[in-house]
Amino acid sequence: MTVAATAAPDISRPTASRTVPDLPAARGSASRTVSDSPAARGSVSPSVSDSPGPRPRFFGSRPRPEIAVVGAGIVGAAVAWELAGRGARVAVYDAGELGGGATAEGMGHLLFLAESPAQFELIGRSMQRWGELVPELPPGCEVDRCGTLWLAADDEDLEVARAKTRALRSFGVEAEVVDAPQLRTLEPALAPGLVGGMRVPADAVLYPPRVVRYLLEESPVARRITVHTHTEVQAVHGADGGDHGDGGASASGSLASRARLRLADGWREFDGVVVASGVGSARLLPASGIQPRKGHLAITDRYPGFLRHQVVELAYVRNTQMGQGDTVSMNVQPRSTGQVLIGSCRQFAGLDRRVDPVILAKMIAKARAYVPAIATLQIVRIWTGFRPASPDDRPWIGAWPGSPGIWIATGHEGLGITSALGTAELLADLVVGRGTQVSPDLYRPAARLARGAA
Amino acid sequence: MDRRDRLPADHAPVSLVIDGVALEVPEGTTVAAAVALAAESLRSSTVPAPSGVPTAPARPLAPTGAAPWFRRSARRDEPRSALCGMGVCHECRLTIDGVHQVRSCLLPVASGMVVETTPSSSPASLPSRASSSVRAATLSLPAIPEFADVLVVGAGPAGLAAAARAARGGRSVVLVDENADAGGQVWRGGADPRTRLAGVLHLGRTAVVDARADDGIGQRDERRREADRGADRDRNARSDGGSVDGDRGGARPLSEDRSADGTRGTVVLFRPEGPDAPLREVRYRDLVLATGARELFLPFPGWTLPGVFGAGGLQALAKSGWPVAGRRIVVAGTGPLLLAVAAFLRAGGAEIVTILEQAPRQRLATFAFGLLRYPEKWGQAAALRAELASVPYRPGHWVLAAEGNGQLEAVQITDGKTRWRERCDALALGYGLVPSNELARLLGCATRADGSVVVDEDQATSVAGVWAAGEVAGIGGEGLSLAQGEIVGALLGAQRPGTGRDVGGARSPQHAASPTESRDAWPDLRAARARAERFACLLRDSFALRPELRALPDDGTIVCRCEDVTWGEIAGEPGWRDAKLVSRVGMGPCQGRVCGAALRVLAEWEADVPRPPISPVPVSAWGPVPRLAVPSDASRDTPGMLDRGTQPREESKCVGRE
Repeated sequence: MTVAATAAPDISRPTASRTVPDLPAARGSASRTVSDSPAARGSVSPSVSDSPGPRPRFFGSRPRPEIAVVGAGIVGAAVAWELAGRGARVAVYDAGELGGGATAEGMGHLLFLAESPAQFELIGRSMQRWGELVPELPPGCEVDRCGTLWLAADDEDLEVARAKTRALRSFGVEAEVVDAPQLRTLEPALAPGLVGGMRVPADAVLYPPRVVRYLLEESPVARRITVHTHTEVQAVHGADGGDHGDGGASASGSLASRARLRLADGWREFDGVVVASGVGSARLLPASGIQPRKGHLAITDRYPGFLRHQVVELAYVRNTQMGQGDTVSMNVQPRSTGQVLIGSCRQFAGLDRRVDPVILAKMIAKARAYVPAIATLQIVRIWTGFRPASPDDRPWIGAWPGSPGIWIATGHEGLGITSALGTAELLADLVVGRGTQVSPDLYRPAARLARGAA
Repeated sequence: MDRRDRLPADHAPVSLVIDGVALEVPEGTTVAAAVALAAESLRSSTVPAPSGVPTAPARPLAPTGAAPWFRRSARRDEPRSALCGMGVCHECRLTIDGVHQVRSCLLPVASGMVVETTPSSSPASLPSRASSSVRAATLSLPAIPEFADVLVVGAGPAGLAAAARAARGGRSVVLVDENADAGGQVWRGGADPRTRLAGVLHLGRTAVVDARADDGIGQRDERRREADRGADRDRNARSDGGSVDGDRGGARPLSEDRSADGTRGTVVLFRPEGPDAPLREVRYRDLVLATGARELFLPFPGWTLPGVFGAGGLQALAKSGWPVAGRRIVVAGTGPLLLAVAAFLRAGGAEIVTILEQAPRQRLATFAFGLLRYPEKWGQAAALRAELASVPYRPGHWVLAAEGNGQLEAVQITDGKTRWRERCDALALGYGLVPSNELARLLGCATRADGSVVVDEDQATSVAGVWAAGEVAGIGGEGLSLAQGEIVGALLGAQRPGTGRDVGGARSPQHAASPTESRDAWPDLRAARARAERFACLLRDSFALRPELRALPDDGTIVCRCEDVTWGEIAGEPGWRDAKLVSRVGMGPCQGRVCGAALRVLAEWEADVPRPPISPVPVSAWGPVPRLAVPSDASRDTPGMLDRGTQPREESKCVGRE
């Protein structure tokens, strides 16, 4: 696949007002005509519409397929929106609110990451799709193309910055190494001792719960989506009778011809059921081994202009991938409201929502180390949330083995927002079954379960 | 209403600079009131304001109007002014001595203070200036201890009564309040003799940030887990020579040895003693929540205009020096508070245009009849009515809308049949009180539908070691608060210090054996409480809000002032959290204190459990690593953590390689 150079969003952004600049050049405009041929795939994609696009759709004269999505987080919403865009009728269930789980609890960043070519394939495609979607989004989504500054505290970090810059550029993503004086000019609030870093101008932050609302209730395809919030799915059940979750076996003896899910008042049948319920997924599909990975965040009062870029320490990616221990990684974001969001940390601590004063103090100390001027800002709220972490640090995307009609799309850990649209596209490609935009092998459950990932 | 607590005019003048204008105000004036005084002096003066300090391009104060504004709102960029006068609404935030977003209604002026209504500098370029005035104001403050036998939160009548009585019983008592002076809203200003307690450590200007109680199964598991992790950390720290305490940061984790002194929980406090003031952890054996109540604000068109105040809010502001003399003020809402506020403002030189009582006349008649059983209340009411004899008092009337261009100029009034307009400079609106239950809910105390904390006959909450007294346990006025505070204080005072976890056994009066507390006092206290409760019921029934008030906001009316969220944006949502996720309602600095209470009335939504910090706290309070030797200011401003080998940096590298 290729990511067209034009897909990298416009780097220029106004600094005085936080309005979102107009679309990157890649956006499918009204005048753009898109070929329906498979050859067109992989180049420029239009926004989803009723007209046949380059993405494979459901065909046939029988009624549109009915698909259920369990989970109204950003991934479930993106999957529902994508499937509806391909012609399916979609029912979305969530035990809570729209986008009320990790989607609301996290930092809401869109990051170009290229730790490996395989990882970049999904993330790069997802970012391209975000670039297409953003112009449609209502103002409440608070999209801010702030870009990311990856900060180097020493020469070793700077070497990492150079390598990352080369990697991103090789994928057609704009990135540059900045030196210490440039850093000071870009962000006066940063610590004077920093030696430089990497700037990725196309990164952005947004407010994901509002995006969920748009995808499920306001987008052009939302009319094919029905949303059932505050409705718990107790179990899912494959078409062959293989059952999962609590009490699935209590379903009647006859084999169902379609996949099913159980609500408080009984079973519903669908042509497919997609489990995208984040940390709740392990209850429905225990073999997924999804674990809650706890994080703390703190947000300040409004200080417009304090930071212009999201700033992240270069050790961040290493910290996110290292097993069971507690880690603290400096990540501070300017929000479009003028607030400053302070993160991040990772713990496996069950589902205890209480603030852990020890790791919180470390997280804030680290923010002060990189951004000393943050000291006088008033923190108005501290909260915790749970990232859905898979056993092998990769999301599950694909058919659930042994359960025809059951699909999974979850386990994105801290990259759920960034990866949501690419995940949705990949899953829809697999459901339609006529080839995929992104290679699915890295994410398919079957082989990984066989290898014992869980 | 007690008028002794108005600021004496002979207080020493304090000079400060507000938006480049130097002025002198009496000592004890709050910064919020000083801003109002500055606006007034600009209004009455033709002398051009001295310039010098770089200030906002536009005039920040409203020199021709009665209502200065403090900030522009988040999304609509509308002028806003103080509403609550007691640190709840966060509308009076200013840049004070270079620190942005400080609530000015809680902060007394200090000599040399520099106040900006529009910041002249971005926070990023601020020098980390040690504020001499803030320092000076806090030099003589008592030290915050690490342990409190009895910790009382809230220095109003209930908290003071509980603290005094527990201290008389021999317990060591710490009393914490966000305001500088004890007294709460009722005895505001510390002039009442009952605010001066012997044997009680009073920590003023001290906010409760977070709290946890050590009871419950989850808590025990948490302690075990913490202990395990602590042990791991200890091993690691020893192996590389680091400090165990330092590794744990400022707030120490719970550990097993704490039960030795009978600790049943921990409260995290913050006192703004300067730019580097740290969070302080105080362990308690008994915690008394006397956090009081705040006003219920119901949204209606125009209620965000500067010049619209809470009734108690305007009274509180006036007590702290806010000018009201010569203002035309409409007092509206419900209950006896309206009369008290009107009388207070009138005595301060205001012209009370009218008093609007939403309760219908029949209800008032019933109330007056019921009042006959409370001669002392009847006397108060009669005296207030006599004092306000020349002011039109209108039962069955309420305010429909506030109007004005950038500030309040008139209100629309109705009696349900006709509507008319009344010109005024200020509207003091009191629709009753709601319990300030944030701390209680954070601790996990059970609450009722009206937000009051559930207590048993000993004022014990559902959480062991946590007690509640006063309006947080149900709105009932000064009398009920005093009675409940006395009961908690007597009960705690009757327990011997050091009895640790057995204190629960001494909870009922017949078990209370103490040389300093007579058992004979118990029936009297309980009788006083029962009587006060009956009066509270009479008030509640007589002044129940009429349904029309729930229909006041239109789609364009702002409900959440912090985030400028309108009623139309959220009216159709199924619940509080759904509304919050789609609109940001309740996510501003007041954390839903104003809109959460309003939406409980308008939409019957239950607001989320509050999150720490209960009041905003500067980032600097968390660190870096305050249990290490405190570094000098210079090293703190440029932390050495970016150097190799120091803690957080080292940790991230090590962790990354594992």
